[in-house]
Amino acid sequence: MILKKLLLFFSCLVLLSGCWDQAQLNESKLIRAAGFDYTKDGKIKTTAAVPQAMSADTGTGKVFNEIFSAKGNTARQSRIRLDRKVSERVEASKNLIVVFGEEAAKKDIYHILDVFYRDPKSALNARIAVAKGKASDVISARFEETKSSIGIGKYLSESIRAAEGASTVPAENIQTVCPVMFDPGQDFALPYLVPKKNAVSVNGIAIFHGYEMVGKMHGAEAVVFTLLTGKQKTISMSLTKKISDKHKDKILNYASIKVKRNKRTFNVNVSPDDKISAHIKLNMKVVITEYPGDNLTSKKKIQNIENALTKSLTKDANIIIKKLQDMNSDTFGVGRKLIAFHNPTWKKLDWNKEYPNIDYTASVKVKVIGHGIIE
Amino acid sequence: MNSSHTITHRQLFFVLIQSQIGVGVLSLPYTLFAKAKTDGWISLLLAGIFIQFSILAIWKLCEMYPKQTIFDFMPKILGTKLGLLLNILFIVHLFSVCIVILILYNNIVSKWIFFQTPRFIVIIILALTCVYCITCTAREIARFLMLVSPLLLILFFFVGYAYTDVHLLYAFPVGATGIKTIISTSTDALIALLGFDTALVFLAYTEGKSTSKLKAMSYTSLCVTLFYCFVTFTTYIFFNPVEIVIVPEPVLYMLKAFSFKFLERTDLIFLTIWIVSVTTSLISYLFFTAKGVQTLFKLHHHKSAAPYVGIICALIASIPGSKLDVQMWSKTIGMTAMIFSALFPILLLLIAIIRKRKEKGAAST
Amino acid sequence: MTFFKKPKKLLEQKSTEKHQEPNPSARTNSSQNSQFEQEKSNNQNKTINQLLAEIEESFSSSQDLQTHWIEMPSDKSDVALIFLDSIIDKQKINPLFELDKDIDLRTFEKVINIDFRKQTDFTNIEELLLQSYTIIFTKDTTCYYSVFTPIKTERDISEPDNEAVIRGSHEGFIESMSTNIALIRKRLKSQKLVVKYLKVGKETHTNVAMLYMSDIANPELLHEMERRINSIEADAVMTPGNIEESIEDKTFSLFPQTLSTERPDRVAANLMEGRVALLYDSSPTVNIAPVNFFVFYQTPDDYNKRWMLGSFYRLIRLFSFYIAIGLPAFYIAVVSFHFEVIPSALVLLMKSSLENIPYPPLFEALVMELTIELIREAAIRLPTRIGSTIAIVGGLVIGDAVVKAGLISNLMIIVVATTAIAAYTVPSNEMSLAVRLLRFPFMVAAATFGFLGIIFGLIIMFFHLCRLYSFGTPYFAPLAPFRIGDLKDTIIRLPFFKMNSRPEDIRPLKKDEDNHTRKWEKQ
Repeated sequence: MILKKLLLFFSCLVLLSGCWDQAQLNESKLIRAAGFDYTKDGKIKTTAAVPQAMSADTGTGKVFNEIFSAKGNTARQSRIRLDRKVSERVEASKNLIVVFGEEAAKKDIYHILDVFYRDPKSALNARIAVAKGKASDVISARFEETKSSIGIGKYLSESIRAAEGASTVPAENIQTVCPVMFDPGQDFALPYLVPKKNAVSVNGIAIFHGYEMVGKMHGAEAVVFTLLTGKQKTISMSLTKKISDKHKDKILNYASIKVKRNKRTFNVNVSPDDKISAHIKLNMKVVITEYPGDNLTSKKKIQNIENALTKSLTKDANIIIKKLQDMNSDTFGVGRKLIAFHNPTWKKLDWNKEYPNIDYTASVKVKVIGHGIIE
Repeated sequence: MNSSHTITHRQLFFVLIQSQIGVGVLSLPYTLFAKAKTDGWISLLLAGIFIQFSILAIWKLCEMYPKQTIFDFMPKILGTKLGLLLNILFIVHLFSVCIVILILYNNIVSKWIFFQTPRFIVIIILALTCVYCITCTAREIARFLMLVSPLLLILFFFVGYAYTDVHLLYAFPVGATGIKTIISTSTDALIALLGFDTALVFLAYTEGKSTSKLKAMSYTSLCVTLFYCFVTFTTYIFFNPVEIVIVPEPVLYMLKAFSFKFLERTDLIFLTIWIVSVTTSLISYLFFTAKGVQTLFKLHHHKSAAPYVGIICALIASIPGSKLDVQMWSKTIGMTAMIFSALFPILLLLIAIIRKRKEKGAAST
Repeated sequence: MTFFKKPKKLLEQKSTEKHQEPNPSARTNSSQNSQFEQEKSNNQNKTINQLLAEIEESFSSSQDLQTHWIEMPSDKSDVALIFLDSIIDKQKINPLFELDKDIDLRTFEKVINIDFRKQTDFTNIEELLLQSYTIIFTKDTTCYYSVFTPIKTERDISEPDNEAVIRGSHEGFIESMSTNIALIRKRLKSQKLVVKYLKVGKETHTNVAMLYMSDIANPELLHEMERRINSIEADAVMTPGNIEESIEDKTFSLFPQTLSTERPDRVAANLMEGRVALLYDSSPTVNIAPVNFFVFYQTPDDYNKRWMLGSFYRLIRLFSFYIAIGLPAFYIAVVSFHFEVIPSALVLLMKSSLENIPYPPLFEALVMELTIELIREAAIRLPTRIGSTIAIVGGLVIGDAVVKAGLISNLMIIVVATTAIAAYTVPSNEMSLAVRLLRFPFMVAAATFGFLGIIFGLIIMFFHLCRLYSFGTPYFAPLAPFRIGDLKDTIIRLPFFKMNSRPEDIRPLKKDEDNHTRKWEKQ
């Protein structure tokens, strides 16, 4: 009996006192894209895109991008100020993308990202990217596609996703970046956005070391970079390579390939005198998707192409590794291998100084396994 | 004891699994990492072996005094007065375990979903739900605990999903912290594995061969240890060793980033299912406590003790407010719980055996 | 026939008038006699008139109690017929009046055949009269004769409306108990099928028939059920619901603990599993007990489909249980607590649909759910043709207008409609009602605590199911307690030849139906 009375009492109490943590969907503004820049006086400027549907009736109608921005000493402070500017509660839990201005990225992205990691409601699966110039320019720009149907956040996020599919950028989000960012033995790379007049172009990758951006890579290099990370397969991992100089007609010198399978063997060795050497070996199986020269009938001809591709890709890979060493960015994780398998050596050395000087090479082996429906 | 209240040894297995898996699972990797670094999962395995001794002791005790709960046979082993005193102490210990479950549950819920809801409300809804659930026989409790067991598979699946983005290298080098640290950490792991001690009351209701009971208990601890190990190991290879230090609930944090096409923020779903696990372990312990109170006050049915036990626990559990308070409470109670649940049965068994020997000796001479 | 009837009616009236004369004197006698109730049965020296007067007294001179006299030419004695005019079929006794020469009791018997019985127990005359018997008194007052002359007021056997099936038998129970028993016997031609009559209601004398298979049903269960039925001490037991409520284990539960059905095939199948069926006087509803939760989700249709289809639709039905209790609650929890879980692609769409709704989701949902219940309730009361109109007006017009007016979001309409449909997929009406009512507490819980509220609601509900019993058998079997063998006909339906054993929760005497239901071996 006492139980029933108690239950009744407490259920009344609970129901009467109401609901504390309600966050009504229709009473909040959803940030879909957030940009961070440093202002000249060292403050953080947050730019947020809040898409609003124009017609409440159908839901599929036009979307109008509202852009808000605010400044503050920290990321959170600027968010709070942003909140005050907006009529309803601002929610970042459905954020799709975080964009850093190049300057901000070069300073320290963790200081800004901290608020995302700390907030239990934040969207950790949002993508991160670095923008050329200011992030606010990318967020507030009126691109052709964002005029009518989709919000800026979705537009940027989809553009990057397409680039991930094409392997021009590595697939990262706020959470996946985090363990690598903390890792003393590994670094990461993020998509690099360049705003053009009517569209945004995912134009390569921004290379990081620790929490800071240290350089960038463009176009085709980025594909080889992704291949070197050991990524197995994406929707279309395609490359166009110059394989000879013989033909006068320039177009005939090129072949386009699509990587079907990519196998990476990554060896890190420490010699008895603590010399570190690292070697990445890629074994690729590719399909030729374009080769105007035709006549892929003979085995020799295919072998020629294979050899040419192997040579050219190995060269590219080594160039990339050299570049990375120059930037002091250990994106493939040589250091991690050292920690795991050569822990005593790792403890002895100062990796930041050592890394640019290690013997670090790559070799690529290409095998053609198909060539479309014509020979 | 009414024969219609018995449970089978298969049900015992699920009862113990559900009592063992509870609040601990979310923060276990973090606590272990704080001491043993990435070797925490080894400590966990060791702890799994340690508790086997306690399990054996509990089983032996219950075999010596069949169909009796610990409160019934404690006075028989230690004499009426000392037995009564220890009964009271044991009940206090059980209260404190219930309280710490409520505190930790509230700690996580208020950190992850209910930021503004008053502590007391969050705690009382769980406590009252459990009070409702314990106002019946052991058999019905066992049925329910068995019914919700498939949910553990969902938790397993969610954690397993992390393998889409793990860095196996983070787990290396294995054994770098040294044997000593690993062993000392296993005491922390032991606290998370507590829950098998509810066998002290549930064994009294279990029918069947005593070997199959022991088997059920051992399999329980094996399954739970492996499950915890899997969770811990997964978080260790998902998070960077540097990162995990700042993430007190790595399991939830890990899931926060996952999204499916039809559902995002899997941590919320995980948290919801995890609450069932918390409820089940609290049900076991509250039932245990209510049984103790029943024996102590010689009540007709533990049902009448249940509401008081629940409300008292809820009231005390809503006292600690700050994070540090919570840590202190959970640490102190964790230590006493370890003594009472893991070491005490072994001690009790030794005394019981000596006493029996003496009696036998006395009888023969 | 009509030709003969009319004069007879005249005659009847005359005879009643004629023989009502001695009544006043008899009444005074009977008032004295009533003091000697004990003697009544023993002392058979009363005259016919006295006996008639006594009966009349006990019926408080109800005017449909009629008496007729027939003169026996053989010994010049009078024979009295007494019956309740309203519940007897006069055609059956008409032939008695048509006999004009040399009639005696033998001829009576010949005319009326097997329903003619000699009785000596005077205590139950009233009861017999109430059961459509005609009582015949002769000059020998130590005994009397009873003729069973029930009037046929039954409707035809037709398919029950709320339990229609696509394939299979289209017979349904009607308001006559004997016909209903016949329908079951037709399906179970076994000498093991036992019918046991019980009576409840001190005034209403409602007949209850308990049917079971003597070699399968557990005797403990039978005993318990009989005990519970016999201990009903009410004056009036009007509906099966009254009995149901007085015998079930837990009345304070939303879940029905006996299965009501109007389908003989369903009853027969359940009898063969070892359950007991309760049939009632003048009620087409038959209650089956003990039941478990999953029995409510089985239909005879399942067994007429290919087994995979049967399993699929059963899974759909079980899934509908979750939708019906949980979908509005889930929706409320999502839009007012955890909209983080909405996939990115959907969130703007949902937001735009909710944007200008002035009310909180709980209010929205309550309004819509109650509207649906209103429409349903109205549709039941109205004649079928208008009923469908109401459904259209309610469903389409109100739904559309309410969205256009911006009071309720169109998403909420989708949620509410899906929930309503899901609730109606339950084959049993009681369970469907229970499920429909259950979603309200879930909605409130979701609006106060989000997912946490739902999960606590579910814990309490499932625990309730675990501790619920139907006549001592666990209600949520075979899931709690878990019996993997019994899952074959609960969550899914395996092929007929795989079902070789009866569900264990009802503790049948014979566990195995047969070792092999399908004897032939595949080549």
